[in-house]
Amino acid sequence: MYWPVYDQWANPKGKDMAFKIHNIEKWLHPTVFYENLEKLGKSGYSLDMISDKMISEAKFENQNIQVSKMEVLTRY
Amino acid sequence: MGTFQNSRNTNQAHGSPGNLLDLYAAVDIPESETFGSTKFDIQGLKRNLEDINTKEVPDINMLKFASSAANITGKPLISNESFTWLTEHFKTSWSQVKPEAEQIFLSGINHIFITERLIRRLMSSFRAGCFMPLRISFLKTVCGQILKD
Repeated sequence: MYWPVYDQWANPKGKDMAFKIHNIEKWLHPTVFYENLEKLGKSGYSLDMISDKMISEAKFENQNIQVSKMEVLTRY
Repeated sequence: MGTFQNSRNTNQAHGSPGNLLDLYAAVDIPESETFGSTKFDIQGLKRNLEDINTKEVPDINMLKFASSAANITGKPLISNESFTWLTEHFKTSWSQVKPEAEQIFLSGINHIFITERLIRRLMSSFRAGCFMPLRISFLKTVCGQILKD
């Protein structure tokens, strides 16, 4: 699941928002991203978050998206 | 970065204004943190408000930043600074530690370690009259090395 960090950086208050564990009610909880994480988690889905850099380093091999050394199947 | 001296490095990327996922992924062992006491819906689990001195509650989704960074970049080890200020000094029981540890594992973190040195330091700080938050982390693979120190 892509983390839309650019939405965080586009905050009218500026880019200097420390993503601490001590203030998640400020930067993480009020996001749709977090709402989706919670919904999926409670429905029993486990997932990983991904960044632009990780996506840009992904390769397409054998009908699969290869993310570094891990394999993500594009079809079931 | 760690391979230069044949060593490994770790960081706690949370707290930075940068992209946490990339910052966690920049080290060999990303490390997250749990702070405070989770409100588990577990019957019989002790959680006395007078023993809890912080309003903060661990969030399994926050832990996922570190475990995701490791999973996507193929790193086998993800650690966690665990049980930080779980309760007030000397008020934590193992029954309270257990579900917190389980939540940490469920987030994808696989590496909790005990740091004997920190506990020794805590005891000497206690003798000096100052108090440190009790930080216990349990590490399976590094335990042997720490006990040698």
